[in-house]
Parts: sequence; C-alpha cells; structure tokens
Amino acid sequence: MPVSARVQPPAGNSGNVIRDSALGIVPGTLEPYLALNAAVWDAGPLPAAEVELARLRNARHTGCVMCQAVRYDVAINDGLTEEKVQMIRANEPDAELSPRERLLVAFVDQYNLDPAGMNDALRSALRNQFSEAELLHLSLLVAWFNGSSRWAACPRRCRVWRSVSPGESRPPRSAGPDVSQLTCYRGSGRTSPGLLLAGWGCDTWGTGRGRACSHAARCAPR
Amino acid sequence: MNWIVEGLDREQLLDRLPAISGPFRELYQSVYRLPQVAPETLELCRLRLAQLHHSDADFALQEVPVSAERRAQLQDWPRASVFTDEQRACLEFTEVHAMDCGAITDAQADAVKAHIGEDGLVALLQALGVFDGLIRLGLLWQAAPAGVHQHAS
Repeated sequence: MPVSARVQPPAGNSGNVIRDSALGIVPGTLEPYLALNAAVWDAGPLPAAEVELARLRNARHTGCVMCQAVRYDVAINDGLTEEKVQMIRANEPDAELSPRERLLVAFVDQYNLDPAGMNDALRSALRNQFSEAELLHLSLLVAWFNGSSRWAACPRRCRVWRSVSPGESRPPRSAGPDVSQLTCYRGSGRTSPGLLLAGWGCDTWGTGRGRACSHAARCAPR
Repeated sequence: MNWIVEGLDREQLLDRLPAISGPFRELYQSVYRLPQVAPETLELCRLRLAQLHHSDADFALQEVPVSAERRAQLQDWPRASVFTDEQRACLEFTEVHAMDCGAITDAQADAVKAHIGEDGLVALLQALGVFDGLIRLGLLWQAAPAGVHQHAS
C-alpha cells in the first residue's frame, strides 16, 4: 500500500541531514535549530555519553523509532557502549547503572511523566550528584530532545510526517540497532555532531526521502 | 520556589547557562516571527498547552496579545464562536500533539495544512516543541516565568 508523506522535504540536497529534512522548509527556524542542536552537545558541562543516555531514555518515552535507532559519534567516542544503552531500555533501569546514571534516568522520566511532581528525595539526590550547571544542561537537553523527538520523522508513534500503512513492515519497537551495521553520517556542511545511523529504519522511517541513509551508505563503515 | 538556585525565576535560571539557553531562547522567539503561522494563533496554542499542563503561571504569561474574549473562552474552544477556522484546526492539533502525538490523524494534519500549508504545519510543530519544553521546565524546576506568580510547590 502506498504511503503518502504529510510533509515533503525541500528539493535541494545540502548534505546536512537537518537541512534536507522537512525542517528545511521553514528557513526561519533552521539556523536557531542547528545552533541549539550543536550547543546541547558542545556547550554544556555534561559529557557526551551522558547526553546520549538522556537523549535515548527520552526517545524511549516518545516512542520515536528514528531517535532510538541513531547514535551520536561524539557519545561513542566518549565511551558510550551498546551494553550501557541496553541498561536504560527497561522500565526500571538496570541495577548495574551507576548512581549518577540512575539519577539521570530518573530525571528524564520525571520530565516526561510528571514534571510538576518531583519529590524532595529526588531533588536532593540530584543536587548532591550534579552541579548547578549540569542540572541546567540536563534540563535543557531533555527539553530540546523531547520537543525535537516529537516533531522528528517518527511515523511509528509520532506519525507527524506521514501515515503508516496497515501491515507495513517495520522494526519491532523494542529492537535496538544492529551495531555491526552502524555507519557514519558525514554529509558536507555538517554543523552538528555526526549521527551514527542504524542499518535499518532510516529509509523507511527517516526523513521523508531517506536522504540520511543515502548519505550514510556512501560513508565507510566505522 | 525553585530547587536548583533558590530565589530565581525561570528566566534567571536560564541565564545561568547562556551557551545553551541562548540558542533555546532564539528558537523560541523565532517561531513568533515566522510568516507561516499568525502569532496570535501560536499564542493560543501555547496558552492551551499551559492549560493542559495546569501551569497557571504560563497561562498568565503573555508573549503576544490575545483578545480577552479568546483567552477567557480558550478552555471551551470547540464550542466557542470567537475562534477562526485556522485557530480551531491548530488548537485541535495542539491538544492531540500534547496528549499523544502518535494519535494525530491525517485529517487533523490536513486541516492544519488547509489553512497554513505544509510549511505552516512544520512551523506549528516546532513551536509546540519549544512551548511544551519551556512549560515543562518551569514545572520541573518550580520556577515561574519572570514577573508571574510562582508555581505552586
């Protein structure tokens, strides 16, 4: 059954995964969007591996398949492993997570489920574990990733860009990416950290025309 | 009373990390300058999100002027006659987006596009993302917008 996109990406091909997505048809927000995306990775005190853990935990809440399927290269370079990522996939985070990582997960869960309801114990634990700047960084990155995940190309749950046809093949929601198939997105004009795209998902579930996958396919596997 | 830096309002807290809050604010402010969606329509959507989040402080805030009549009738917008068709399409989209973005139907997306086009739909989505984010941050931090009464703690 044919699938129709709700929004078409721009006609050009800049090589930048964000500019070439449907977000590119609103030039008035494109530069602030790119600047914010770069800032949450580069301009805060939290290490990239923790930023990525928070992003992925958030994506689990929004149900965005695309968001869960990608990894940022700066996080991998910072030491984030797939074993660690698997530890945050369950409802209750893995006991092997560090106390700091468990608090990070709790913060993301609170933001998504009941932002007004944080109890004193969690506040106190967060203040003891994170600096003021780290808490503000964590807050802003979760706000950013939550908003962008909702508007991202994630038709499985957030069917904003297009409808999903009944019976259309798609990866199971619980599935993680096959890390052996990760490729590096290195499009020209890249203004934000590189995306590592899973082998599945993006052509069908990506940015309208699967440009992200097309770029990735031309890159050498890591 | 916020629990990160006592005594600061939401804007003052944001000021403590300007390297990231600066771009966030720029994105937030840029949506009101977009030609695709009327600022009043966006403001109505932001106010409706504030109602859905039970954030009295964000509902008290005014980013752009909205008529007192529309503000007063916003909670009952499906039955109120003071809203335009464009506003009604955007408000319906906002409500579903806030509660479960996966439940947005083609008809609801088409209704928005019929009034403001595909780029208007994208603009609305971007606006809803930053509006929702700032409201949630205020609730999470227990920090009200500057000049508005505090969130209940």
